[in-house]
Amino acid sequence: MKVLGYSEYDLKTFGGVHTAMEINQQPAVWRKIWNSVDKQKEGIKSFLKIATSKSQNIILTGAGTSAFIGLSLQGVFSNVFIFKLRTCT
Amino acid sequence: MYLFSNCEHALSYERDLVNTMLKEGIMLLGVGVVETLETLDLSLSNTIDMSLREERLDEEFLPVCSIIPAQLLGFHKSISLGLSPDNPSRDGAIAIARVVEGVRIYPL
Repeated sequence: MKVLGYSEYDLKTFGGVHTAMEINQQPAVWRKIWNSVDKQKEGIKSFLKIATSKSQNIILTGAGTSAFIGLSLQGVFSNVFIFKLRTCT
Repeated sequence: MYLFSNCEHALSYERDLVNTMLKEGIMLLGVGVVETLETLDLSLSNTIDMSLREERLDEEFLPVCSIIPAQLLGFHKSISLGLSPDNPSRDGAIAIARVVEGVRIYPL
């Protein structure tokens, strides 16, 4: 079975198995996260209500794509919350 | 590689920026990643048009889709350069590690 156009053998040879799998699985992973967040919506909302009332700074940390996603959320957060959101990679 | 917004206000500024780059003639190759091609209105020779449907994503969710072409470019380019995407640092040097190990968390 090819992933991103390469066979498993090729991916192992040049050391790209994990990266290829991660990229390839994103649609499935995002759907899974969506469903999970949707199920826990009320709990997450309650947590955020308490946490944001006590926070002056929110820091999102991550590397690679997670860092990118964190950066992309700065605008959203600052539109919704009045305190500072920082991202660090 | 330009990851364009699907919000017309932001897109106006993005368009101006890319037109400046096009005018200066300083691009080796320009690839535009856009939700729907009709909104772009730019003479980029390469575009990735993500949406097959009428409906638009909320702007906040677009980066999740837009990043994929960039990831693929990085992945394939690194292989063509003889690098290992899983281990970007060459010759055993561990400047960049995929999995962070050995980090202790201390009480505040």
